[in-house]
Amino acid sequence: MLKNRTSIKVKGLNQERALNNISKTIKIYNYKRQEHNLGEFEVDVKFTKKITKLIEKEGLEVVDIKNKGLLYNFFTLFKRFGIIAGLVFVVLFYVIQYNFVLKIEVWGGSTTENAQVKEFVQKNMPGNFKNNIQTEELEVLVRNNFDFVSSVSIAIVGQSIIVNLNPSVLPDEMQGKFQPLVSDYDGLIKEINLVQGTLNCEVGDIVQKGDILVMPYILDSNGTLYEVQPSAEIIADVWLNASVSHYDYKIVQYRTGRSVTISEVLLGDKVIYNNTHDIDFKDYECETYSQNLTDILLPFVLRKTIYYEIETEEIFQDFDEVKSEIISQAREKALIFFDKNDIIIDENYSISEGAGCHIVNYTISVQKNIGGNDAS
Amino acid sequence: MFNFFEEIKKKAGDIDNNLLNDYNIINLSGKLLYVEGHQGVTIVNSEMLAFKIKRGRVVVEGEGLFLCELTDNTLTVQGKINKMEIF
Repeated sequence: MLKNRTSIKVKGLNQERALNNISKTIKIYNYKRQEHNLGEFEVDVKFTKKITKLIEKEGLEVVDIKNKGLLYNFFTLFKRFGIIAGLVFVVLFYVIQYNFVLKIEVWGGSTTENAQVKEFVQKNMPGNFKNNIQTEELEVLVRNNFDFVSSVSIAIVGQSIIVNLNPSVLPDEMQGKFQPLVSDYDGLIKEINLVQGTLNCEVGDIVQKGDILVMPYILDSNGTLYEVQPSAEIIADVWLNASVSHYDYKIVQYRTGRSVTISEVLLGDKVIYNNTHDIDFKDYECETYSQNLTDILLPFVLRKTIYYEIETEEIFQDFDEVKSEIISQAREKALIFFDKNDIIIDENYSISEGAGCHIVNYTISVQKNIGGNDAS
Repeated sequence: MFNFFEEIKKKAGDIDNNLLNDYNIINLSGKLLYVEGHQGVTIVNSEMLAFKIKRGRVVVEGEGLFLCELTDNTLTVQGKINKMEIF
């Protein structure tokens, strides 16, 4: 099939003699005697012309002659005008249609904005022919017609027009979105320096987390309301609390580090494969997780169950032995809420005792700006 | 270069090497017959193939025989080879 040969069917008597003479100059392949005076054989394609002359010289008649082989079949394709015409048509079609824009893509804005810009560009395009489209002009048009666009770039990529929008960012004042200033802490207000807005608290007030400190508006002498961005420096004493419990007797469970993993491959609910192991742990806890192996054809799922050996230990510990450590833990816990600009005013702790349990409550009093604006 | 026939000839005992130079025939499992030194085919059909050699003739009988390859002094026969006689 791969070799390129010419197959020749010959008719005549004493073909053996002819074969002997021909084989002196040309190698003959696959000679088969089909009938008494009919035979067929093959020669390399390059000898096609020569062989016909030799056959005629030997007094045989060529009944049929045909070429075969991969290369020959490949080149034969180029002799088929239908295919050539099809190829030419496809190439021409591709070349012609490549000069036209088929799609407009808008990036950068919200879905609605993109849709608006897309429609606008479509309407203002002089046509779909690439050479007629002036991207600079379109950019100017888009920028002038849409307030939400601060800058735009338009480019023709392949058969698409890509519109890249940079949306304009308006400050909150222009957008009219004002939120009141709200306390993030519980505390006692010590000092207020109002910058903008209307105060909703006074010095000496105790505020809780979530209370409004400054309203986002001002009222003039006529009672007209103007919305503004609230801003103030509000210094308050804030109490940072944390507590740590200690039990004189407790039972602790921990993993020893030994584990056994059992894997299963499931198809739906049926287990296709599993590697079962014996769990020889006295006490254990297990974790299971599943993962889809593939969901293209069949929903195979890999499920792994890991058994961790655990040990249980009873711990007896007197509070007095670890008292300082527990207090230190409670302090560190309270300091989680401490900011670097806060000033510590005072700190203290209290210990409450129950049945076999001690609770250390640690309180740190700090001076903090809860207004969120440093007026100084 | 390794020559299959020359190597076989070296293994032969007391024999005149000139007597071994007329032709070589190899039958591969009764399916393929390779011949060196033929002097022309005389009969080719699906049941019989005959060719001349120096000082004689060879007749190959079988089923579905055909000349797989033919050159001036070599030939290859393919098919089910039942019998080969040298006259």
